[in-house]
Amino acid sequence: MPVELKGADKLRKALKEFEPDLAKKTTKEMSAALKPITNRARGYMPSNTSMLSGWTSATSSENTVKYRVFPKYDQAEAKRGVKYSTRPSKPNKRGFVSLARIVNTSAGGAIYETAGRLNPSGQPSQASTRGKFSDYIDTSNKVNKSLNPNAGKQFINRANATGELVNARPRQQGQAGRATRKMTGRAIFRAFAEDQGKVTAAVVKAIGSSAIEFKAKTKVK
Amino acid sequence: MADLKIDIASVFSGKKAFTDAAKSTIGLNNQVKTLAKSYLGLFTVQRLARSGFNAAKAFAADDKAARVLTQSLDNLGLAFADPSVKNFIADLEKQFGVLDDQLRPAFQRLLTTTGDVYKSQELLRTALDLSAASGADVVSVAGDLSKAFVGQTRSLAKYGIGLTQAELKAMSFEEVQARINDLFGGQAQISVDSYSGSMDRLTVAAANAQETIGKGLVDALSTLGGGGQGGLDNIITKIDTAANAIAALVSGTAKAFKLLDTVLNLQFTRIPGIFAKPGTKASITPAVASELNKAAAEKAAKKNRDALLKTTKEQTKAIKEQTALQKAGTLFDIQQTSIIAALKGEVSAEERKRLELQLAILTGNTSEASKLAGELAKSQGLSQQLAAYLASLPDAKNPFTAWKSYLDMIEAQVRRISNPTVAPVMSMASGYGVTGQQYSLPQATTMTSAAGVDFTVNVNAGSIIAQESLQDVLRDTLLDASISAKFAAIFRQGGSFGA
Repeated sequence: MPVELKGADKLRKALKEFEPDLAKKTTKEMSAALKPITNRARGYMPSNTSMLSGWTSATSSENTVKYRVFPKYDQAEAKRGVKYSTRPSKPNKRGFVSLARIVNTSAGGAIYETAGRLNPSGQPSQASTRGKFSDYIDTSNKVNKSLNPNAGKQFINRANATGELVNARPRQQGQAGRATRKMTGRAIFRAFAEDQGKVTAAVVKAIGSSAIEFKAKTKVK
Repeated sequence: MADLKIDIASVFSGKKAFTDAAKSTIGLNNQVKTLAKSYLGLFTVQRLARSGFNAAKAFAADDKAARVLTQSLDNLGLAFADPSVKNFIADLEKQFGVLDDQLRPAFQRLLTTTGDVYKSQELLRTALDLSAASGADVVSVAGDLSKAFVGQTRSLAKYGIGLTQAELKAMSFEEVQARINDLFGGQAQISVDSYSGSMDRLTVAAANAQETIGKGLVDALSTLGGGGQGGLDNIITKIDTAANAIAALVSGTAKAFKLLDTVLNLQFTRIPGIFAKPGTKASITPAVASELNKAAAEKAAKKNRDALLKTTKEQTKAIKEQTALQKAGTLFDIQQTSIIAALKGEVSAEERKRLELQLAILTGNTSEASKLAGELAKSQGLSQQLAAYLASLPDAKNPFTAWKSYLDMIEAQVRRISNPTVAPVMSMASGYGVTGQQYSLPQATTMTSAAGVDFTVNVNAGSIIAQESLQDVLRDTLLDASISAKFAAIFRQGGSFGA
């Protein structure tokens, strides 16, 4: 869970309105905190040759099929997709607005980030879902439809060979509720886990110090 | 695709939840309204509420006009006159049947122009007379009078006061006012005494009654809104919606109205974001909020101050310009006349340009002025160049210098002619002539030397009668020269000069 800063959005609006220089300074400080972790995450994107060749090169039928093909991986694109933002987001469905975030936006990069997070040994093959006494076959996206029943496993193994999945928020001892795997990944989540919360502290500090400075500047003497 | 992002910091806006709640509440509200209208027959109630709303609006407008006038008096340092002005306007309203809605703005215009309460009252009476005579509303007439007070009498001509524009300009305002009073004095009173005037007075009474009712309603609304200015603000901003609630209060005897009050008033006030201000859960901390409010208030105050300062500067500038124009106007004719007179006289080209330039400046002909200024500058530049050139010229030679030598030569010639010298003997050494006593012969004597060379000797030796005498003279002279060691003899003997 991100740190919730009550009134931070109002503060940023007020900064923009009354103290634009301080607003810029705050953004700069937040960016300075976010940039190292973003660069580190970019460094975790493997080269094209270290991935399965079929995932990095275009297939002959790619331009003729009517469905969206499985996204290819490209290191440069994946690196470009790892970014940070200090612009407040739109509220999510629970009403939370993100003030600072690190994102992995490219499709290939996202697959590399999360491959094996749900099924560490790959999805079960479609054939394995066939009932012993029926012809039922699972056609959903929960199964591996490849002719190679080990395709998923091989894919994940290759990904794991370049970088292990790291859970940035492991279940703490005595923690209530279910553990989440939403914070597990090979690039941005790994970098975030290795940072050990320093970036969060730096961002909170930047906002907090700007709040103090703003209060001092706007104090009516 | 999974939302791959790490939220470092976030804030709960809660906006969506509140918006949804508000939408749901408004929807419910509309449904309740429809239900109430359908089953309780609210049309009559609505009309009552509407009339109450109009009354409240009339009161609000009247109250605002009164406050504006009070503020104007206060700004002019005439706050002490506020009660008397109110009484004056109330009396006029009753006397002439003109609504205070018109009297107050009219009086305010006059007051801001004259800055004098007594003068403004006097002019307002004149305006009422003129208004009654012309049919124009009193505010327009007061505006025209206030313009005339500061010298802009053009607008008075339309009232047919029998004066030309030139006469209006020439007359002082007091004279113009006296003329208006002479022509239209008492028109307002006559108008009141007519049937139409009586109707106007009735209208005034009705309007006043409406305002009184409105005041009562506003007070009631204020009480409903929690009392004080805040309660009134809440109600006024939502006055249209609150009209139903007013109706319920006014007609609160009926059970149906009580029910309506419950549905439309109490329930609404419980809904945050509609009647009450939204909760402060999502707002910034109170300390920051108060600082923000203070900063905003300071900013607004600064803006007002700047605007006031700007207006004052503009007014000062306008007054200065007007004064300068007036001053220039007095000089214009005299200067122009003198320049034209000078141009008619005989002046040099440069002086003519100067005069034309002055004339162009006076008449405001900027293009001509700039052109002439350029020519003048050029002319001045050329004169200076010429003076410099002349100053740098070397001294002129005296043309008669050569005359002296020429005259000397003439003098020498004359002298030579008048005193002829003995021509040198060609056979003798050059420069050796006969010296000593000069003998003159009547004519030149041509002789032949021993070597057979002919020579002519002119001797100025007086009168010589015979050739022998000449020979004697020559001989004696030669002997004398030899004895005196004259250099001719020495040369001949020694070949060199002696002492």
